[in-house]
Amino acid sequence: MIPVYICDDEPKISALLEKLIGEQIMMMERDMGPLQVVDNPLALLELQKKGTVPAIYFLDIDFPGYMNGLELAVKLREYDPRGFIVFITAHNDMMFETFRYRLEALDYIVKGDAPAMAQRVNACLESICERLLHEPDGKAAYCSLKLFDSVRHIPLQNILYFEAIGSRHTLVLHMDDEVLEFNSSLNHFEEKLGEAFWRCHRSFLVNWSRISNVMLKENLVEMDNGERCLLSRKAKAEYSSKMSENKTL
Amino acid sequence: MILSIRVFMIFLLLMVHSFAIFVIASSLAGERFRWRRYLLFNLVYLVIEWLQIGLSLLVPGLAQFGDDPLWMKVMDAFLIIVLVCVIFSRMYHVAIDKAFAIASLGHFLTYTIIDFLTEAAYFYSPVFDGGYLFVVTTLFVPYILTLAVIGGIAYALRKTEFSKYFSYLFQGRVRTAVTLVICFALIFMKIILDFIFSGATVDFAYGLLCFSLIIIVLFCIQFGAMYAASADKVRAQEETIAQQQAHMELLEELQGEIRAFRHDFTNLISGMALSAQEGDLDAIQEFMQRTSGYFDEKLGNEIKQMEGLTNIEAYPLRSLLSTKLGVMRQKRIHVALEIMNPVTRVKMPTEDLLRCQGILLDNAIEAAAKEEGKIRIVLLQDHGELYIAIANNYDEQPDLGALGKGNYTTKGKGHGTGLSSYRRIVSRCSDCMMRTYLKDGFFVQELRIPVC
Repeated sequence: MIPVYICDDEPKISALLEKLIGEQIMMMERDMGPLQVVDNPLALLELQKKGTVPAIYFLDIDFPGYMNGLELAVKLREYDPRGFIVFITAHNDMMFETFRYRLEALDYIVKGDAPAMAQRVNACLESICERLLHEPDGKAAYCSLKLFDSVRHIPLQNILYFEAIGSRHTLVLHMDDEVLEFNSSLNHFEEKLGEAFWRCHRSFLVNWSRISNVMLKENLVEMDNGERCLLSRKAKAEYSSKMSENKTL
Repeated sequence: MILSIRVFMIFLLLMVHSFAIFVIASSLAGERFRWRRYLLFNLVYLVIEWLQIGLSLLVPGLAQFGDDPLWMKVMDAFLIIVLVCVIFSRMYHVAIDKAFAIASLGHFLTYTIIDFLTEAAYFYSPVFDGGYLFVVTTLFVPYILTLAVIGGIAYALRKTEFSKYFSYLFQGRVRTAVTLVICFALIFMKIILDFIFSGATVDFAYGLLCFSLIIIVLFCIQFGAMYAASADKVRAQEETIAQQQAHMELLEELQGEIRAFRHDFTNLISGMALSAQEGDLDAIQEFMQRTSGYFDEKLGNEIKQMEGLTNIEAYPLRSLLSTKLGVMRQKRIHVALEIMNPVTRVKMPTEDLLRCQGILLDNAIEAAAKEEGKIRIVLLQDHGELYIAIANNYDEQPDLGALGKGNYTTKGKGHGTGLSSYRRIVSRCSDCMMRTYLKDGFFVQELRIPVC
């Protein structure tokens, strides 16, 4: 079950949303709940700590007297980096792209007539379900990265390899459909990730489970998406001895 | 003289040498003097020098009364310069060409000053009976004076922000080459002079010549650098003017659209006035529905863009963005620009930030779908960082793996141009983070830079 939170200071809107979301969950028999409504950000932040993560949040953009929706979302993300955030707004011209990219917000719902909102709510929940299906379950191993003031959890199975670039501790993390470049050292990750990864070269750390082919002749390691990493002589010897060990066993 | 005093004096002289070189080099580079780095430098320097002294003592006939053969002088200069180069490029992250220039200039200055002062002291010091006093006047005093002179020069260099002008000498290949050749000549200046005027008596006049040489060289460099800087300034101003013109064009276009809109709107309103007179409520409602989005649709985007642009307080960045927005408009690419908070200075040098931003925007423009191209630009400054996201839709899904490789740009197709230099610039700025990913049919480039 995934908890659902609604946070809006207008009772009318939150009541309407509660009704709409409740109906949708019932009708489609979604694995979501309990549905909880609060009217201010601080209460939501408290409530969030009591429930499980990831959760679904429907947030108003403006709370007069409190923080704005962006700040609230940043705080929510600190505790629940994988949660789903949907914004509720009175007007169409909100800065949604900012929310989409900075906070990875899912969508936004414009306050208006009930049928349109119901449709939008349904679309949101549908897309959440779809994302959850593709996401590995909570038991899968994660690699957590601290980037600026936030922490990102990346499922290990999405990671292809790490690559060190230049002399200034720049690391490039290659994932499915994503490349991330930041300051860190390969040794740090080699220690942290342990057995599941292989230091096949001074500047490469590859995910064992994503290797498709170790090309001993060409001194390359091919990943399952066709990308290739270098293979050092030392790692080659290591690999060969490991293989022969496996054969004798 | 007692051996220990002798060793102590040599040690002291070497310390002065290394300190002077390091101080000059760090103020030329415009970097702070850091004790730990200096101590490391000093240690290696001492080792090198003592090895040389040991060598000349061990091999008989190599040194004739303190006058080393030419090759040893060259080797000495070479080793010191390599050492300074390594220290500055590795620990201060100064580019290698600049580090070389710094090293050779520092070496030249230090040695010339020391030479001059010792010659002068030797020339003026009265003859004493005791050796100690003689040592004090001919070695100790000039070396202490050297420290003072070096301190003065370093202070002047920092005060005049010489390092800023200095870096102008390394913009462009020709300039860098000329600077490096001059520096190379400087290293061997003394050796060349010695070689040419081998018979010249070493006296005060000779020292004065050396000293005036330093001043002339420094003056020339400063002048050259200032000249180069002013040329760059003029070019930058020309660019700014061009970008301002682009901005003006945008404003004029907006004005034209507002005029057209006003014309449209009066027509529409007069139409509605008729229905209102007749009391046709349905027609009015339909009209309202049709026109409520009309304004936003026609002008909303432009106005939003202008609003966003005015939020950028870093002026060069603003003009760059407005120029690129103009290009996008020409190519009929739909742009969503969102800049919520004021954007001020970041830790990255402005030129680098501009180049990064320019490369990302150019790539987005090039890669955006030919039909119904869409680009989203987000700049958000908060919590001590500037967050930039530039997203574009695409016709053909880009290959992220290949994108990371430097040669992706050379594969033709024009896609990803400049990406390798973008990555180089970003990796030069510490604590930056860049992210490239595909999401919902958009190719997204993210860049996060700490704010100073």
